[in-house]
Amino acid sequence: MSGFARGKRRKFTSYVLTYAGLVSLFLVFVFPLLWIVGISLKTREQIFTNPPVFFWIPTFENYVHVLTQSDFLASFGNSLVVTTASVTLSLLIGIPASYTFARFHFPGRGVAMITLLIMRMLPPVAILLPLFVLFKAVGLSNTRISVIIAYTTFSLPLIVWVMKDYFANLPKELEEAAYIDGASRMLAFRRIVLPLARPGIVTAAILSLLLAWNDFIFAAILTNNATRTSPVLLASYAGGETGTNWGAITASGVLVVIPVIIFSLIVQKHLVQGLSSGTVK
Amino acid sequence: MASVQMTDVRKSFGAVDVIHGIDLMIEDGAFVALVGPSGCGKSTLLRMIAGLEETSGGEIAIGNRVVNDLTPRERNIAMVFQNYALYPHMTVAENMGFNLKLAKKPQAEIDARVSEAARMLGLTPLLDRRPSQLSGGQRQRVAMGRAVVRKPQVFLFDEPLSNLDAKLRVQMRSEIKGLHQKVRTTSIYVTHDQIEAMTLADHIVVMHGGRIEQQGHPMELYRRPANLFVAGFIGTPAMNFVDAVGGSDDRGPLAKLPGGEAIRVDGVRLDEGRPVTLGFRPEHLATHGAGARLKGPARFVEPTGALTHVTFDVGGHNIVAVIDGEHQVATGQAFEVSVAPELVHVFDRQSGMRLNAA
Repeated sequence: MSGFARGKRRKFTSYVLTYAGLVSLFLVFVFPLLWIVGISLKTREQIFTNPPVFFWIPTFENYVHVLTQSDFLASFGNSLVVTTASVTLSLLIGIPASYTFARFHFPGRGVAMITLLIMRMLPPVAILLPLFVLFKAVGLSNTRISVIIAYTTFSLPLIVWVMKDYFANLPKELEEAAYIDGASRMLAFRRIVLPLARPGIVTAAILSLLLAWNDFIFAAILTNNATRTSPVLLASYAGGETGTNWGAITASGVLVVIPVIIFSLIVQKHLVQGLSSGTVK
Repeated sequence: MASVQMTDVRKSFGAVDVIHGIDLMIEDGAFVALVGPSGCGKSTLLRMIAGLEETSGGEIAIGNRVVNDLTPRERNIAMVFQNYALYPHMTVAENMGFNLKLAKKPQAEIDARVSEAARMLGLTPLLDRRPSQLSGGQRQRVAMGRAVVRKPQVFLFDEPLSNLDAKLRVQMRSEIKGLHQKVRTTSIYVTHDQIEAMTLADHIVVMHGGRIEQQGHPMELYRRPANLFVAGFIGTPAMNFVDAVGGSDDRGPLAKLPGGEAIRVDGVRLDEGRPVTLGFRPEHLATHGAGARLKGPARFVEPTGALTHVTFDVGGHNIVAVIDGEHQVATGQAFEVSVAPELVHVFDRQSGMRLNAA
C-alpha cells in the first residue's frame, strides 16, 4: 500500500472516531431533554406502557392542562419577574463592584474578595434559615422581593469573581487613552470599558440567570402559593392523591426551558471572545 | 503649541523615590527625547506631564500654566502609547475622532479634521476598518492620527516604535520626524533606544536612576559626554573604556595603560599617577593614520557589509573597532589601530566625570 493511501485511511479513521465521540456526547447531553419532550407529548396511558412506545401520534393535552388548569402561568410570571429583577440588580451592583476590585488598590481588598468567595461556598441551606427569619421579621416573607434579594446575594460573588478578572485583563492604557482624549473616569468606563467587557457581562448574566431561574430551595421556603416560582410548582405535581402527574411535570419542564434557550440564542453572539484583539500588541 | 517647564519635579511610590528633582525646560516647538535604560524614570516623567501620574513634588507648567492639579483633559496634550491603545470597538475614523466628539465638536468639523489627518498619514482607505484588521505599522499610524487630529499643545510619545520590527521602525521613525516638521508641535519622546533619540530629537535628555545625567544637542552628547554613563549610553557600538594613569612628557599630557602603552590625550591636565578611565569610540579607531597605537590579537571579526566590527585584546581589555568593510582581518591575527589625541575621552576614575575641556 502506498504511503499516500495509508495516510488517507488514517485520516478517515480519525474522522470516524471524532464523529463517534461527538455523537455520543450529543446523546448524553440531549437524550434527557428529548425523553422529556417525548413524554410531554404522550397520553397518561402511553407514558406507562411497558415496553415504551417509540412511535405515536403526539398529543398536546398535557400542555393544554398545565396552561389552563393549573397555576402555571402565574408561577411562570413570578419566575420571570424574580429572575429579571435579580439578574438586573446583581449586574447593577456586581459590575461596578468588580471594576473597583480590579482597578483600585485599597486596604482589605484581598480579604473582601475571599469573603465573597466563602459566601458562595456556603450551602444555600446554611443561609436560608437566617434569611427566612430575617425576612419574616421585616415583613417580607412570602414576597417576591425576598427571593430577589436572596438570589442577588447568592449571584453577586459569582459576578464579582467572573467580572473582576475580565476587567483586570482589559489593557489599562485604553482607559488612559480615553482620559487623554478628554473623558472622565465615569465616561471612560461607560464608553470604553463596558462595551469591551460585554462578553464577560453576558457570561455573568447567564450564570446569574440560571441560578435564579432554576432555583428550587430558596423559592420553596421563601414563597407561598401566590408568589411561588415555576420549579416550586413543578415539584407540586409530584406525589399527591392521584400520583405523580408526569405529563404535567414534563410539559411544564419543556415550557420552562424555552425562555432559557431563547435567551442563550440571543446573547451567544456577544460571547465571542477576542473582541479586544488589535488594540494593544 | 507651548513650552513645557519642569521645576524640581519629584515622584515617590510609597517610600521609594523614583524621580529626584528634575529641572527641565522644553522650548516651544522642540522635539525632545528622554532617553535612558529601563527603570530610569523616563516613562514616569512623561506620565506625570500627561497627568496620568500625580507629582509628589515640584511644578510642571505647560505654556505659562501650572498643570499639577489639572486632569489630562485640561492639559490639552496628546499621547501615543507603546502598545497603541486603540479602542477595538471603534473604527479608525471613530478612534481618531473620539476626542473631538467628547469635546462636542460638530460632526462636520470632526469629519473634516479626521480626513485631513488621515490624508496626512496615508490612512484614508482604512478609515472604516477596526484596529484588529490593521497591521502593526497601520495601528501605529492611527495612534499618531488620533494625536494629530486634536491639534494639542504638546505631543507625548511613550516608546511608540518598540513593538514594530526593525525595518518598520526605521520607516516610522522617518514618518514621525516628517510629521513633526509639518506640524511643529512641541514633542516629548521617550525611548530606551539611543539611535531613535539621536535621529529624531533636536534635544536629548539622558536619564539614569531618576536624575538627568546630561542634556543637549545630540551631537554635543556624542562628542562631549559629561560622564562615563552618558559616554557608554550614547553611541553604537558602545564606547570602549580602559583604565589608565595620568602622566605627561615634554610634548604634553598622556595616559599610560596597564601594559605600558602611552596614549596621548588632549584638552586636559593630568597629574602624574592620577587614576583615570579613557574612552574611545569604536568608529574613531583607524587602521591608518597618526596617533597612539593600540595593538593586540583579533578575538572576533563581525562583518556587517560596509563596516566590520573587530574585537581585539589590548592588555586583557576587549576593545572594539569599527573599520572599513574592505579591510581584511582574520580571527587570531595581530591587529593594530591608531587613535587621535583629540578623540580620546578622559574621565576621572572615581567620580566618572569628564576631565577633557569642552
